[in-house]
Amino acid sequence: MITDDEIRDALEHLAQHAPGPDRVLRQFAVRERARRQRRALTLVGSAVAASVAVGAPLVLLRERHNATPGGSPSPYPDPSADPSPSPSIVNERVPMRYRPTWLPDGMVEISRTVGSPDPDDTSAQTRAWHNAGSRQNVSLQLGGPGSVDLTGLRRVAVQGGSGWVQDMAGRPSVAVIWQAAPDLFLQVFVDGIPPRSTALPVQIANSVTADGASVLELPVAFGWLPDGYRITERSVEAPPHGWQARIAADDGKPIPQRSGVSVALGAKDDLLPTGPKPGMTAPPTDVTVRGVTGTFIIPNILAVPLPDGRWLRVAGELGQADLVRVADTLRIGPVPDLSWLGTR
Amino acid sequence: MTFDEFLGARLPALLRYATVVTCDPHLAEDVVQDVLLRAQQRWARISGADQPEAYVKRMIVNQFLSWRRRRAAKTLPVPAAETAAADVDTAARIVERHALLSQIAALPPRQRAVIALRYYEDMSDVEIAALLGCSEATVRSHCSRALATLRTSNRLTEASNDHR
Repeated sequence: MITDDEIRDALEHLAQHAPGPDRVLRQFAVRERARRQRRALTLVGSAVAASVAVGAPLVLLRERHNATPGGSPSPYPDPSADPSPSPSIVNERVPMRYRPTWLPDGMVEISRTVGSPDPDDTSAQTRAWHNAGSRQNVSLQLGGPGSVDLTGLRRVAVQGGSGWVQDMAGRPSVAVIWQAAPDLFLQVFVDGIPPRSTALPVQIANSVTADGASVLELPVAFGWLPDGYRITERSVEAPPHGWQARIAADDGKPIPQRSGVSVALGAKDDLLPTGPKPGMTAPPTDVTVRGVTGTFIIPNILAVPLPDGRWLRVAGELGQADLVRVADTLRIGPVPDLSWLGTR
Repeated sequence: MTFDEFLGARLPALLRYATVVTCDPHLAEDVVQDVLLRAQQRWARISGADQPEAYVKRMIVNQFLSWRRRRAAKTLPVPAAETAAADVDTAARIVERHALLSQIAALPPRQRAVIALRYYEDMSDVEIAALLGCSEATVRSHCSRALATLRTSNRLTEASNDHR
């Protein structure tokens, strides 16, 4: 007998397969470009939605930079003001290996990610920037030989050597790829430029250099994981309501059979789904986790309030007892250094 | 709220909503993009409404229901056999969920929309009727027929499994 809960769970699972908004926005931007040009001046003062990681955060980013002592508080907590730091826990700091020394004016960094779903690609890193005025996105991606497919790509000169250009089938996006080391490929991906135009991505690519200073500081780390699980991606980014840290792990099996778990730490409004709500025939299930009352919003999404006002979301294809165990054993440190978020 | 602010804040949720309503992420992407273009042109009027998001969601449902005549439903993209879970109970739950999603995807579009609105959006019959432009009785009829189909399909699946 199918229950209401089962239908809700199935639909929530389906919702997790929704397409990412970045591609929709890119395609939308093409058709809207002419109108946008007319509105360019009026858009300067408005929030711009250009990717899931940007959108409203740009309002926050701008507020952050415009903040005055008597003005609105920064959306990003001051690390020294974190109300519930855990002195015994030190955030892991992962060096970011490369950086562009030149970007178009107005670009601000919006995310840093290390790792990839490919367990063999230990070099994977991604940094992303966004320009609210031009609506352009730039990302710098590092990966092993398996991260690129160079078949049929046209050649281009990059960093004094030979690279490749990947066009995005008529979309306003171009990637420039080059080999920086025997097992390391770099890609500069620019979104929001005329299709097949290479000048801007090549200029950025030519400016990329080793980065000895930038780090990704992670305020959350896995403790217990099921046997066979390995950590895949870890990131910090700017969602609509501040900042968000995310870590993920899976069992490494081929994608149709793959089972995984993800943890996100951030603002409640960024973490919890807008789908099934309490008050229907199947109320959310409360559970004690990390010494407080957490809630299984649906059977495989656990929301946990933290003392400092942040929230945890633990989701995955695990039984509820295992999701609670994952949440209980997470190591949560102080608010990380976010000084790079929203700056060049 | 400007249109751009609306996009920045609500686009991910709109795409999830459209995916659930259409049972097809590719179709959801097309529907949402088309709706956004029209919504942008009418934004002054839409943003003046009490609930702009509800208005856009209504446009998404209507767009889906009109497109269904032109586009056949695609295969449900959810993996069909995420069976290698950590334990038997979880694996069984995953199999059952995918079977249920396949059954929902096979429902007639209007019944599918009603199921999505009731169980994903937690909308009442009154709200669904207003959104779809039909009577509450019609909503209840769609819902009861959809649930009957799902439960019949479920029994057939169980019987088939028992028979193996």
